[in-house]
Parts: sequence; C-alpha cells; structure tokens
Amino acid sequence: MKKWVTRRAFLWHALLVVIVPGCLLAGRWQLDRATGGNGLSWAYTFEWPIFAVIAVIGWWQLIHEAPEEVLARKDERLRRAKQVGPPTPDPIPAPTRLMLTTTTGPGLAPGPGSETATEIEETKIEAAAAALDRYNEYLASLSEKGKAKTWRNPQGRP
Amino acid sequence: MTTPSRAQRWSSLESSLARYRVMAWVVGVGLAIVVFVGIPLQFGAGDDIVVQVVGTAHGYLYIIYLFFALDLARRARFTLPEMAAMVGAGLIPGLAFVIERKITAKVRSGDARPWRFPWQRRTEPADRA
Repeated sequence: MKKWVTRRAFLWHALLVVIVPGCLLAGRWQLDRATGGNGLSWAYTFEWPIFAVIAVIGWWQLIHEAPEEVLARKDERLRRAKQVGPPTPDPIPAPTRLMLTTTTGPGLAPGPGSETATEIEETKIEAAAAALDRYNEYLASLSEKGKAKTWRNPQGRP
Repeated sequence: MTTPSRAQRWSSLESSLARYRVMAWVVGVGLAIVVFVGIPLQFGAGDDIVVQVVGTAHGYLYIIYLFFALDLARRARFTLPEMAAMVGAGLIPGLAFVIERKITAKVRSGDARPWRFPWQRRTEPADRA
C-alpha cells in the first residue's frame, strides 16, 4: 500500500483528478457541438472519453506495475497456454530411482563387502548408466525433431 | 533460453522505442498536414476536406501514439516533464520531430538522468518509482 502514498504517486493522483474530468467535459462539449450541427465533432465526441480511459490506464500502470513484473506474468501465461517444452518424462524410471536412493531396508541390508552388496552396487551403477543413455537419446531426438514450424521459423530449426 | 520469446522481444526497450518513433512520425506528419495545408485551405479557399479527413485520422492516430508513449515512458522510467513533452508533441505542429529525436537520444544513451526544460532547476527528483 506504500506505493499509493509516495510523492510520485501523489503527482499521478493529482494529474488524474484534473485530466479525467477535463476530458469528459471536453467530450460533453464536443457532443453539444455535434448535436448542434457540426458533423466533424462526432469524431471528437468519442475521442475525448478514450483519452480519459488512457489517463486512468496510465495512472494505474505508473503506480502499480514494474515492466519486469508485467513481462514475467505475460511469459508465465504464454507458457501455460502453449505448454512450452515437453511434459518432461522422468529420465530415471521410478524403480531405478528407488534402488539408487534406498540404502537400507528389510531386504536391502547385506553386510558391507559381502557378495550380495557388491552385486547390488553393480546393478545400481548399470541402471544409472542405462538411465543416462536413455536421457541422452531423448535429448538427441529433441534436437533432431526441432521446434514447431512457424512463419518465423519455417524449417522448424531448434 | 538463448532466443528471447516473442513477448520478450515485444517488450524490449528498443522495440518499445521503435513503436513510439513510428507513431511520433505519423502523428507529426498528420498534424503538420492539418495545420499547414488543411487550415489554410479551410479559411483561404473554403475547402475543409483536408481538415475533415486528416484531422479526424490524426485524432485517432494520436490515441495509438499516446498508448505507445505511455508504454515507453513506463519502461524507460520517464519523469513528468518528459511525459508532458511526449503528450504535447502530438498537439503542437513540428514539435513531434524534435521531441522524438531527444527521446530517442536519451533512451539510446541509457542515461538515467531526466532531461529538463530550460527553465527547470537542476535538482534530482526525491523519489523515482
């Protein structure tokens, strides 16, 4: 709420209070002239209220919005609307992840250095390598496929 | 992201400035035609077709100009005198071209200091949002 009471904000409040009634009065005046027979005034009759609306928009923006916030919000909206990017498939399948992260458990607690423990370690390493391979394949397929073709990017280059 | 999105390109300062400059020229030329061709024709030859057509068009183009000027003013954090100059540029013939040059030079130079009218004292504003 602090942004409403800065010195700069009061400047915008004061300007709004002057400009908006001024524009509406001028629009009213042009309406009178238009109904009085001045055909050109019809154009200005609709123009003055638009100026008042612009003043309100400007007042609101100058008080509220940093351009960076506006851009961030717009990008977020675009991303949501277009679902930019793949619906990321998990590169490491869930069972492998469980294996990689689980260190203790009822069936997974052989003594250190035992044959079973070494086997489990090897399985983990192989699974991780396989997962990495799959992920690299996925990346390669992405760069091969390229982007959607648009009029800006007719070849669909990545 | 290496390539900026369309929204990012649209809202870059440079493209905001470009939009403003185009409309400044359109409005400046339109107003010059109205004042230096249309009004002499209207009162000299009694022919007000130029004023009717170009005058009306100028009025509505000025609305677009105002939108772009406001957009640029917000992005470049202009002060009130600068904004007043931008608004006035569409109302006084010939002024649009001068103001457009000054605004462009200011935005391109990246100078954050506000430029001022000659009669203004050189003080820094207390707070700039």
